[in-house]
Amino acid sequence: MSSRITTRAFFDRSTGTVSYVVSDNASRAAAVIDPVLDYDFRSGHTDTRSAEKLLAHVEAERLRVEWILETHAHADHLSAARHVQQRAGGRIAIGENIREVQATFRKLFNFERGFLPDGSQFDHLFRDGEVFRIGEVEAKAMLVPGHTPADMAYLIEDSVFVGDTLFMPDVGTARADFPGGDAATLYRSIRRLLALPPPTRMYVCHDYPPAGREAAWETTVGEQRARNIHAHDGTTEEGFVAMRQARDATLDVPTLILPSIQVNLRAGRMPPADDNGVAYLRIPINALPRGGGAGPSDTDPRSTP
Amino acid sequence: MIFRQLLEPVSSTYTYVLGCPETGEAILVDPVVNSIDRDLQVLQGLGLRLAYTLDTHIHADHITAALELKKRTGSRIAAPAIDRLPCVDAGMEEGRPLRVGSITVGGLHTPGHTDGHFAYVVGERVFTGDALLIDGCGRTDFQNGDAGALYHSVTQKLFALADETLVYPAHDYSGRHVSSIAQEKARNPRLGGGKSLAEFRQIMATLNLPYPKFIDYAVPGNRACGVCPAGLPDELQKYCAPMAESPQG
Repeated sequence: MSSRITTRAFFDRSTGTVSYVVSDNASRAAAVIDPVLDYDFRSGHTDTRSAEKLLAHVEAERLRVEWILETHAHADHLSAARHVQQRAGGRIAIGENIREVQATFRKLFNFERGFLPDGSQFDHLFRDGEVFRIGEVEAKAMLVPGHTPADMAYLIEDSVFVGDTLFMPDVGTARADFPGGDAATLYRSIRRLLALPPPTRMYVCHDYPPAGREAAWETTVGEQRARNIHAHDGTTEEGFVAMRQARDATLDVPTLILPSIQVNLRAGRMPPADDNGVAYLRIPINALPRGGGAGPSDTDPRSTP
Repeated sequence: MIFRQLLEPVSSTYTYVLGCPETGEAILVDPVVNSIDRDLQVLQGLGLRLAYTLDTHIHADHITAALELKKRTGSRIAAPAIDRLPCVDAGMEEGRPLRVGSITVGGLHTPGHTDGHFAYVVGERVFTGDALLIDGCGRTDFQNGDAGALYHSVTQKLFALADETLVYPAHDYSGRHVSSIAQEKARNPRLGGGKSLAEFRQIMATLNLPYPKFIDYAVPGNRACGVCPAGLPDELQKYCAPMAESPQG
């Protein structure tokens, strides 16, 4: 058990997303992981109240934000990385395969010519296995694709922040039917995470608590290996893929997938404003690929049992 | 709700923009007279029309922009009813929320810094005025202030709000913007961590703060909803001069 870092979780009920502030106790350096920008679909207005909850912690503890870490380009919420950066500083970082995701969606949304699918919207792109520091604490980026091609997990001391790979043991795993997603790839990423030492603390990016339990986000590698309903020890790749594909075919498209992707591929920036000074998000008509061979409306990043 | 936090640097006052996306109406909480132009620009940029100004209390450290904004935009002046100011259009009372478009502002009478002080609850946010500051609180030695009353206001009314509620104070003097009820309950050095009334009284009695330099001008000016007093000494002119820079909190 580490006493070198402090981890605080912030749960956004409306999207089921968990954001984290991880700080080095010695230097007060911190990383903010997956901050949420509130977005009202009906009015098109954003709000910063979710991000302000974690900023209140950053300010109170006088933390120095060095990193704003995205585990991937989320499809269910907009990233507040820019708001956090403007307020508290830090470099916005994501996995280097974000370029692949940018290339896919640049075509779908017909992004402006100035948008390059080269990851330059972010301050840093992590390679698999790259080691970085949060103050005095060493951290490692682990490539864990499958939900999307660009998912990273961040191993910080004895804690791993797994993004959309595994969820809590009774909830299971992330869907794998988004463009570039792949169930077999997700299985291998999950096995990689589950090869970490069993006491490793595991922090998930979403929780969709079954009726009767409170939202939760912290478990351990050992717990997941014993009890994860989709990926416990003994689950075969074939079995997992069959389960995942069958399940993904029943999931709805996440409500905020279109606005989320457009903003998150820009590291949390809005698209450039039109000549009237207003920024617009686009809705492609009859063009969003349906992942996983799903039905008429196919997805939600969750994978409740 | 559209939300912005704006800083007026002379008195380190936070002014808050609350906007209804459906109707385009806005409320300004604790606007300051020397930042009127900046505030109107922000409203215009957001496509909002000012419906109300809303003061938390009769301030002693700046002049409210309520009256001047009313003259310029036709906005209405909302403030605690208990202060019985004849210039107020909408008197705030507990249990009688102010509704502007889709925004509902609930008033909480939180005396102690001043006897008429109100805090305002809007969804997941509370605007605490000078009753509760981040890691602090307003002084209780002027304007019928009372440490016992403030202790009750903060511990019984504000700390009774949901832990997650975001705390937006009227001031911060060290660059912080926001806190939460849970955080203040746990760690406010004057009122948090289960401090007793006796401990709080002791703290407030031994602050040894200087006499507020602007109070003798600000209070009468604010009792008139924001009149810049004539004959301001040179060193206090900055309180009524248009803001030079325009930081945005």
